[in-house]
Amino acid sequence: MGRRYILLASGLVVAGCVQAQSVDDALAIRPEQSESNLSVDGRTQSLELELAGVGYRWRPETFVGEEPSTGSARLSATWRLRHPFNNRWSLIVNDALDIGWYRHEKPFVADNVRHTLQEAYLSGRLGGSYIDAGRFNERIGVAYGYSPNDVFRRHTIISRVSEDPIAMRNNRLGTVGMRVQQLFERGSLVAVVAPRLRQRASEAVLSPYLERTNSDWQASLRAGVKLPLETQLEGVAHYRERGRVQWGVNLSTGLGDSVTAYVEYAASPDADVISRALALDPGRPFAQTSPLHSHRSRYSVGLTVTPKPNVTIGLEAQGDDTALDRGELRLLMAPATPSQLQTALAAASYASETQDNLGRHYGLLRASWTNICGSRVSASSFVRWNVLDHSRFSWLQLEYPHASGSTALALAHMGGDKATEYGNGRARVTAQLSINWHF
Amino acid sequence: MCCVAPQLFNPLPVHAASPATAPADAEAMNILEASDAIRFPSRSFRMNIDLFEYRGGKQVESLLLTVFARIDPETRAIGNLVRYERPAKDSGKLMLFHGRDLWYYDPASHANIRLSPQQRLIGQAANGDVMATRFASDYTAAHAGEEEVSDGEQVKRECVKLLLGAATPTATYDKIEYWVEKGSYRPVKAKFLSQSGQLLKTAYYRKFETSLDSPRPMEMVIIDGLNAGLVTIMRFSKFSYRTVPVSWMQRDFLPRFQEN
Repeated sequence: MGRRYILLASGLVVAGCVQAQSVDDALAIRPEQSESNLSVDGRTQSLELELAGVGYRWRPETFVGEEPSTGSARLSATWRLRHPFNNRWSLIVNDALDIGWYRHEKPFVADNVRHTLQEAYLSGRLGGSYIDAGRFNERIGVAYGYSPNDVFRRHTIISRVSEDPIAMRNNRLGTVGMRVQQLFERGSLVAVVAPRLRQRASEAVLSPYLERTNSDWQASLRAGVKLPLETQLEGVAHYRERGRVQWGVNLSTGLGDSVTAYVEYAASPDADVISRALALDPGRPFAQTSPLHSHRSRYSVGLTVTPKPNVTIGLEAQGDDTALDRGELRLLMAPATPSQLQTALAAASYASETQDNLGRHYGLLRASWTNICGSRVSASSFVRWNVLDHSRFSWLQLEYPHASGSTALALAHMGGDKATEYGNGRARVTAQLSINWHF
Repeated sequence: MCCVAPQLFNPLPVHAASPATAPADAEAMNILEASDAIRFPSRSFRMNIDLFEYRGGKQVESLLLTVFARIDPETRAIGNLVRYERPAKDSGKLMLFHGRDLWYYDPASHANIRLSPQQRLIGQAANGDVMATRFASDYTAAHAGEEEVSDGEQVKRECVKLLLGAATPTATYDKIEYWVEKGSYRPVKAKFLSQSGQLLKTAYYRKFETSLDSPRPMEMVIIDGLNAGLVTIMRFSKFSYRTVPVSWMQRDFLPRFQEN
């Protein structure tokens, strides 16, 4: 009986997915409009609006007396401009504004306006070199989730509108400085210099938050080369004031038709995450102030497999020797005194702000499935698993495109025992429904 | 109608074939070369592709792409840099296809993402469908007789039928049944098959117009092998010869791309 229902259901699904017609019908289709007559002069400008409703389910056992659930709404606007002045120089601007409304609050409070000046820079060519000057997003590395070579990521998220690592890289502050790139036939050399511009925290609502990205002098040099067998190798050196030099290397390769693999490694003289969190100076909260340590390693190793053209599965192992081992993590997550609680809150907040790790080992499994069953719905998801305390963060997003944007439903779940990294989070389940338009 | 001789298909595993092992014949390869010269120019060029995706006769999506094809003057190997122009949400995104090296670049995140050749980015069309390719570089060809078949305008054409087998790792499909018009060498129809012989999609070439000194198909209709309701129409336009430097064919160039 059950099998009959399964067969019937399968038939309905197939019927729903397949709308067969003849080859003659297909050949009779004549597209009317063509956009290729539009002039394509390299100038692009777009405005992206997103309206989102967010609902939370809280952990009642942890936060006794609070409401078990709450919600908020958000309106985000992102303006992207690429304006060429001539065939050598262009202006690039990416600027985002987020306005949030929370339950039990007045319709508008200034604290809920978040400004992220992602990029504003001049880009051009001088001789054979490419030059950028202004605020730009210097993204280094090849890993999907945790990217230890991505040294300019710290303190760059002003408005965390999604847990998707790709969205977080889209919505972050760039660093102010100068970048020079020299391209060769099979590789390139990139040098970046970023000056110290401001160290005190900004109070203004629409601040460019220079202190978050430019509180120390920084410089980096990276060299990439294309090797045989679809392999790309990159070496990175990054200097930060007070003698901190991080060395890194990343490599990615294709393995046949449906597999890609990557590895990313970095070594730096950083103290452990708790020391770094507690050494922060309130007068210059984004500067590196912790003492130097002997070099420690961070790494990320990953593999993606595409079993079908519209399905991709990825696996990533992440390690960070500056993070906490099993015993240290257990102590941190079960504070017995107010001072331990303060330490735990400071470390968790620091790790979140710097996109660093609390625990030493994580695994990440991700999957994406586009055009599910021939429909226009696409799904992407990941689970990040703390190997030491077995807690996990799961995220699933379903997206449906429409003519000028898309509608997305994102669900996030934090799982694990109370005294674990993700089990200790305030919001157990989060749901976000968002609609965005591109103009 | 000529029977398809299964042994003419390359019996080796996917992408393991080589011209030495495939029973190609010189005449078939000459026809394939002549047809390639009609499908795309023989030196580096630029073109636009309007890509329309239909489901059950209704248009559900459209894209405008610009393709910069670099043809190596020595090896004749083709590398492709593809830029999204429309829709607005994808404008400026880039794809680089160079051999089996496949990269996707999003200017919003400045992220270069390595993709596998299998990953599909655009509707029902395979990545290889939006690239300029030379069948003669990637496949061995064998003559399989002559047939009268309907072209994309549903007009009967006298054709030579060729059986193509993947000869390089960069070939998008394992096998292709390919009909070329006798005398003119115009491509008429192609059936793209899996290693097991399953029909993946059928393509019809139509709307021939002279561009860059040769009559070329300005539209390609791709019909899904399992469901004829899934149709992708590719409209080619604005062919022009263009120098495409070899330094464009690498990941680190993508953030620097500017056409002029």
